[in-house]
This record gives sequence, structure tokens and C-alpha cells, in this order.
Amino acid sequence: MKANHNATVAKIMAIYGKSLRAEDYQSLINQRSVSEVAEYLKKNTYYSELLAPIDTNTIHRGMLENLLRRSVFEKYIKIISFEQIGTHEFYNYRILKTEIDEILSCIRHINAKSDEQIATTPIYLGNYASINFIEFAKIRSFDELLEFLRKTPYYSELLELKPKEGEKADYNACEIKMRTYYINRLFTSIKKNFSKNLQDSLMFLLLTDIDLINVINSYRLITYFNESEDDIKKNMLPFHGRLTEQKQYEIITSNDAEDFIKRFSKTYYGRQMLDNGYNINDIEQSAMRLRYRYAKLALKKSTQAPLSIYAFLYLMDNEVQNLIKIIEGIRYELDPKKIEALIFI
Amino acid sequence: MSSIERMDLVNIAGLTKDLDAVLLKLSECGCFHMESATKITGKSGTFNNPSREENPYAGMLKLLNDISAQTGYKFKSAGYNEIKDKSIDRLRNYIKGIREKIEDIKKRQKTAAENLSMHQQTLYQVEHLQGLNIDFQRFFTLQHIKIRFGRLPIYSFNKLPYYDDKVFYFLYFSEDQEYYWGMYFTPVTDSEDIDEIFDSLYFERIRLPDFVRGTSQDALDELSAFVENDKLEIENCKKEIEELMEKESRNLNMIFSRMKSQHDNFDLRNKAAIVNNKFYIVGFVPHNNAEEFEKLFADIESVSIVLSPAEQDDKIAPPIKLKNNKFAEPFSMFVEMYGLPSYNGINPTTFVAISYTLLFGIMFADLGQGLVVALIGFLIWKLKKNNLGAILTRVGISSAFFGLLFGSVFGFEELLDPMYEKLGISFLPFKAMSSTNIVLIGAIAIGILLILVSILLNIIVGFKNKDFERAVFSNNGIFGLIFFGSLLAGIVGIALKKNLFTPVYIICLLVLPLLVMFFREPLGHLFTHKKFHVDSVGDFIASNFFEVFEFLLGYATNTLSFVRIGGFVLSHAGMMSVVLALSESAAAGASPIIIVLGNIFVMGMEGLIVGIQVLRLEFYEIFSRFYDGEGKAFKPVKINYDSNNNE
Repeated sequence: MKANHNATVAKIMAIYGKSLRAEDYQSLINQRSVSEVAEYLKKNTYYSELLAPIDTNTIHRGMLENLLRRSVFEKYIKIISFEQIGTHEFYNYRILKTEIDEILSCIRHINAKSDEQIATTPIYLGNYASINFIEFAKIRSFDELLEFLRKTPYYSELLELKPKEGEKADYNACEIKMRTYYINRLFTSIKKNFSKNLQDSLMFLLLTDIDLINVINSYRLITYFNESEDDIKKNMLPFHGRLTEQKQYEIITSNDAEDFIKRFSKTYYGRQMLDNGYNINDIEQSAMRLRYRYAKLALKKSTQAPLSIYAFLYLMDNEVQNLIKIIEGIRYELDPKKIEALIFI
Repeated sequence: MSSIERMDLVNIAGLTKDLDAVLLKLSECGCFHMESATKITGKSGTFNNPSREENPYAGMLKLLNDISAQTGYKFKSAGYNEIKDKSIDRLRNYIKGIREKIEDIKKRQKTAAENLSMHQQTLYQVEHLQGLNIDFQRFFTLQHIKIRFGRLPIYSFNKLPYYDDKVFYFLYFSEDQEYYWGMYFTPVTDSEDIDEIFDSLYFERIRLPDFVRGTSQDALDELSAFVENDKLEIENCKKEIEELMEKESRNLNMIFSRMKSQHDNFDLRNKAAIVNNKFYIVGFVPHNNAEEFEKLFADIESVSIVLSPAEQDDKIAPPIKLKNNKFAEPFSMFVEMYGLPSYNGINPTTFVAISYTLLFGIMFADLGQGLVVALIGFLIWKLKKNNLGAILTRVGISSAFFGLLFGSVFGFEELLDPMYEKLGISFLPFKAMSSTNIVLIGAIAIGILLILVSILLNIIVGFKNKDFERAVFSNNGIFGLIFFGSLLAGIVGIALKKNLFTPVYIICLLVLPLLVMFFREPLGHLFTHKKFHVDSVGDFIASNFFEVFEFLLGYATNTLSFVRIGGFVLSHAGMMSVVLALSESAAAGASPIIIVLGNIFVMGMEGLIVGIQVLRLEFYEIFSRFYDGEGKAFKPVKINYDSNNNE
């Protein structure tokens, strides 16, 4: 299928060109309250349209964060509507991802016996989603969840993970199952529809993401939970990019955090971190930094809409995450230097 | 003539107690390019980097930045002799005092802004309530129902169905882009629960003040007065801050300059190396400033300075400072855009200045438009000191000159004919539209000339760097020149009906150079007595075959690329003839307007395109033959007073 869609690529670059710059972040970090952050965004950045009707003096932190999250979805809709490419199955991945995120969030809320899912439910997806999020937020048990999802493809994925009466669902198993389903759908769509070159570029970006997520997860499991090799394996996404099965085996059989870093530094990603001057001892932050870097590079070089959209949305999510970190940091009166270390520019 | 400024490598050593004094002098002299001393000393451990400690002036600058961020005041550089002996603590207390004053005013301003926002929202709310004709007092006397006024984000409004089992009713009076404005009712018994739900939905409650009773008109009048008062208070606060900053700016600028200078100098310590109690600094100064530079440190006893030729230490490449004549100077912008030459390279600025000016003039030949472009450029240069303005002046004059030759004035191609007739010059003006072949062939001839000059420049650079592969055997070396020159001579010969392509000519001047280019790598190695190694002969043959094929294609495409010069000569005449045709077909009154607008349009659009196209020719067809652009810029260390953010 035709994938370049030059106008869409240009549109993405035009929007990306307006995204926040280092000096914006510097100014935001130096603000003293959520209101001042909102005011800065409203006066000096491309969020001015989003925040135009908002009174920044009285805005609530949670509302600002919701608005920012929604803005990424609005950008996504704006882009896929530009050349009416939204009907193609690949571009639907964002909706698929959001639905899966919500299902996982629902399982967390069920396990925690919490009824607060409604607070963050992305109802702005509206008709784009295959789920009625208002009804979805009312679910209080795994059985209700299965019943709700009965006519969707998610049902068969979750059925075998149904917990026994009175027990909690195994959240990690559910997460791996659902994420694996999402990745498989994405891979199938990429392989079915796109040219070899585009497939390679997209797969590289996706598999890099997966590899680095696996690295972060296994590092946490070894460092904080001292899990066995088998348990770690169960919590890994079953895909491999440049972190081959052999390399993955080497790092997950590490004795402790120090050993992990030593072994990891010999992998492709470890070398990349060292070459780019990242602090390999802070492996989680550095892995995120690397993911951000790859997405930025991909967007810069991309001439084809699927790759541009994927990389762009990743960068936009990162921008919103940066803003949320700044808002939280200011709220908890964190030193600006510490906030700065948490964001990826 | 353009050249590259000669540099001297400077090694400075001294006792660490004098390090700060030395760094201050370095940043003040404006001619010292500092390198990291560890590049020379290595990271052996003998030398330490002195400054891993926190910059002691960062805190003070942060205080000043806070003031700048809160007031919008930009600090300026100022002499600080008056305060140079004042203790840091004293200065800190002074700044903190000012910051407190500002914070007090800001607090008042914030309260006023919040009040203003609340009063405006209440006003908005009451305006909507007017239509309901409600006696406000009744709201506050209800015993079993609680009523809350406010606004609910649309996003949250859509979540209300989730709470359909709860007892409340939300009534909205109006909506805007982001909110529903209205009120919700709930029984007193459920109000705590419902208030919590609305809180979680970011319902912003507007508390109707006590006075909102009686008629709504009274309430509106009262609220309007409040709004005016709040606005006045905000304005007063802004004025107070302005006055405070005006009063304190002299002192603050002095403190800022001192702190900034000490802060930046402290940062420079990162580039020095320390062993025992001695420091070591390395960098470059332009050769012309070296003597003067050395004298700067005469009064610091422990410091010794050693000056040596720039290339003495191959661990650090000398920085590049281009030396240009007045005509070429503005064009250094284009050269820097591509990258600076290496220290042993050549400075192509004059070549670029001449070729750019000529090509632009030919492609945008119009006496009237050229003079207008020159005038605009002159104004930009005078008012904004922008190099682009200076370039426009030069290319504008060139356009005017070629416009004079081509007889074109604001698109009128016959305006100068009588003048040339009077002067008795029969071959002028040159009519481009009626001599298209001459224009296109002329364009290619210019291209060939520029390519030949580029190849010659590459040969010079190659010999300068003792790179024989590049100077002799490459496609832009001597054999490339022989091949390209011979091929062109042969083609010209055919055009003049004289066939030069004899077997000897072909073998000696075409085939042999091609073979040399094919074997350029081993030949280059042979010349420099280096061993040449190939992993696979097959790979060597295949890759060189395609490279030589690419060279051939390159000669052809690069040459033909210059046809665009002719293309633009014709397009200028063509576009202006369209403008004139339009003006002729328009009503008499509209004709001058069309000519003026048409000229503005053509000047804007064609001027821009020609500017870009010539730059493209410079970068792709000319620079790619001889220019590496791998040099690093000469950046003297100095205090950057423009940047307030040092944290």
C-alpha cells in the first residue's frame, strides 16, 4: 500500500517543529506553581490554543494533566484526518494501545478494589474506541470484565487468565499477554501492508522499544525483587531486537544489580548508552533516554507516514510526561536540578 | 584576499593560587580560544581536572535569575569596580532583600489576579442567572437542598452518566469551548458525597458573595466595581515592580556582571589541568595578537607562557578564523553554513563572493529591480546589521549591471535601446529571449569554468596537505582535470567541425586518466610509500568500476546543472513579459498598479529562488569538489552577559 503520504509527513514535522524546546523546559522548571506552569504554556507555547479557555489561576493539577494527555490524542486525530488515512488498520494502533492500557488499568483497579478508574478514563476517545468507557469504569470484578469484553478480541486473550474464586488476577501475566497481543497485531499489520524498507525501520524502532522495556523490567526484578531466572522470563515480552535471546539470557542470569550492569554494558544498548555519555548505572533513566533518542532520530530521517506517526506520538507522549514530571516536581517543591534530570529533551 | 588567520598554540602554566586571575584575563582579552588541557595531558591521573566542585557563584546567579524571571527585567553588562571588594554575603543579602520586596508585590498581584478571576467568573455567572429572574436570597435559605454554582469541564460533564445512581442534578446555563457553566442541586443528606464527586470532576465552584442578593442588576453593578478595582490593583503592582527595578537596576546590573564574570570564569576551570599546586592551560591565539597576549600576564609572577606554531601538537587541531576582505566578508555566512575549512585548507570566501555575485547578477538581470534589491539590502544592513543585507547590496548592484547589459529595466526590455543606439554600441543590449541558444551555451560555459577552477583549488589543497591521491589521481585531481578538459576540448572541436578524437588522443587523454582514477587508491599509497591492502580483488574492481562510472556521471550532471543559470535569465524575461501583458490588457488606471505589484512579486519570488539556486550551485557543484568543511570555529572565551540562565 502507499505509505509515504508526504503531506502527512510534512504536517507531522510542522507540528513537531512547534514542540517545546530546551529553553521552554528551562523556564517551566523555574516556575513556582501549577498555575504558573499553565500560564507559561498558555502564553508562550503551542499549547496556547488548548489552554485558551482555561483560567490558569484556578486550574487544578489533575485537570491540566488530563488536558495535556488529551492533546496528544487530538494531535493524532488531526494527523490521521489530514489525508484520511485513519481507516487503515496500522494507524488504528493508537486506539488499540489506549484500549489495552485501559483494560490493564481496570485489572489493577479490580485487584486494588478501587473505584477510581473513572478519574483517568480517556472518554475523549468517544466513538473512536470500541469500548464504552463510562460503562467500562463501572466494572468491579474480573468476571464482569470478561463479560464486558465478550464480543471483543480481548476476551479470548484474557479468558485463560481468569483467577480462581476469591483470588486476585495475576496482573503481570495479564500485562504480558495483552502487550504481546498488541505487538503481534502491530507486527502483522506492518508485515502485511508495508514495503521491506519501511518494515525494517518500523520494526527496528518497535523492537528497540521492546528490548529496552525488557531490560528495565528484568533490572527491576533482579535488583528489587531478586526473582529467579524463570520468573523473570515470564515477565519479559517474547520478542527480540538487537538484544538477542542469548544476550537476554546473559543479563537475566545476573547475580545482582552490579553484575547486571556489567553484563548489560557489553550489549548493543549498553554500548550505545556509553557512547552517548549516558549514566549506565542509572539504567532505567538511560534506557528511557535511549528510546527517546531513537524516536527522535527516526522522526528526523523518516519520509514515510507510518514511521513518522509512530515516532512523533512517542515524542509527544514523552513531552506530556516531561510536563507532568515538571508539574509534580513543582508541586512537591523538588529542586529544579532534580526535575531537570528527570526529563528527556 | 581571503585567507585563514595564522594561529599560535599557547601553553600557560602557573601556580593554582593565580588560576582565577589568569582565567579572568583570558576571558577579558577576547582573543584566546581555550582547549581542554586534558586533550594534551591525557587522563593519565598525573593531571587532575580542578573543577569538579560546585560553582560557588551559581547560587547568586540563581537569585538574580529569579528576579529576572519574576520581573521580566533583562540584566545588562556593567562595570563593577565599585563593588568588586564587597563580600558575597553582603551582596547576597542585598539581592535577597530586593527579591523579598518583589515577592511581596507579586503576592499582592496574585491575590488581585485571583480576585479578578473570581469576580469575573461570578459576574459571568450572574449574567447568566439574570435570564432566570431568580431572587438570589432564596438559594441561601433552602433547608433541604444544597446548591453549588460553578463550572464543569466538558470532559468531566461527559462522565456524569457514570454517576447515574447518585442523587443530584446538574443544570447548566451556558457552555464555552471547555466548560459548562451552571449549578448542581443535591439533598443536604447526600451533599458531602456529591461534593466529593464534583471535586474529582474538577468542578470549579464559584461562591456567590453575600451581596449577590436582591436584584441581579445590583449584583452586576457591585461586581463590575470589584473587577475594576482588581484590575487597578494589578496595574499598581506592575508599576511598583517597574519602579523598584528602575531604582535598583544600576546596582543589580553591577552585581550581575560581577557574578556572571566570576561564574563563567569558574566554569573555565573545567578546561584547565592541575598537578600538585600548578595549573596548566592550553589554547590558541591569532598570531597577530600573540605578542600583545603574552604581555597581559607579565604582572603575574608565577605564570609562564610558551607560544609555538599552531600545528605543533597533533592532538588538537587549530581553530579557524577566516580573514576576508570587505567585499567578501558578508559571504563568510554561506561558507560557515557549509562548514569551516581545515587549518591547512583554503578559505573559499572570496571565490564564493565573486561567483555568487556574478551568477546572481546574470540570473536576476534587471537594472531597476537590481537597484531596488541593493537599496533594500543596504537598509537591512544599516538598520539590522544583518549580513544578508550586505549580500543583497552586492548582488543587487550586480543584477543592475547585468540588467544594463541585457537592457532590462523593471521588465521593460526596450527602454535602454535608444541609449545604446545613441552610443553606437550595436551588440548591446543583449536580448536574452531572442538568443536562447547563446544564453544556454553561455550558462554551460560558465559552469565549466567554475568546475575547472574548483578542480584546480582541489589540486592546490591536495598538494598543501600532501594528499597525492586527492591532488593527482582523484576525479578532482590532475588526471580528473586532464580527462574533463580533454573531453570538453574534443566536444568543442566537434562543434567547430574539427574532430580531435584520434586514437592517440582518446587513449592518452581519456582512457589513461580514467585508468589512473580507477587505481587512485593504490597509486596514492605508492606515492606516500604506504602499503596498500585489499581484502578481495573482486570487491576492489566492482567498487572502483562503479565509482569511476559515478565520476563520469558527475562530470555530466554537474556541468548540465549550470543550465539553470540560462533558465533563470529566460524565466526572468518571461515572467516580466507576462506582467507587462497583463498591464496592457488592464484598464488604463490599473496598469501602473499591475506593473508595480508584478515587479514586487517577481522580485520577491524570483529573487528568493535565484538566491537559493545559486547557493545550491555553490554547495553541490563547486564546494563538493574541493571543500571539506571540517574545521572548527575560533571561539574566544568571553563572558556571555546575554544569557541569564546559567543554572
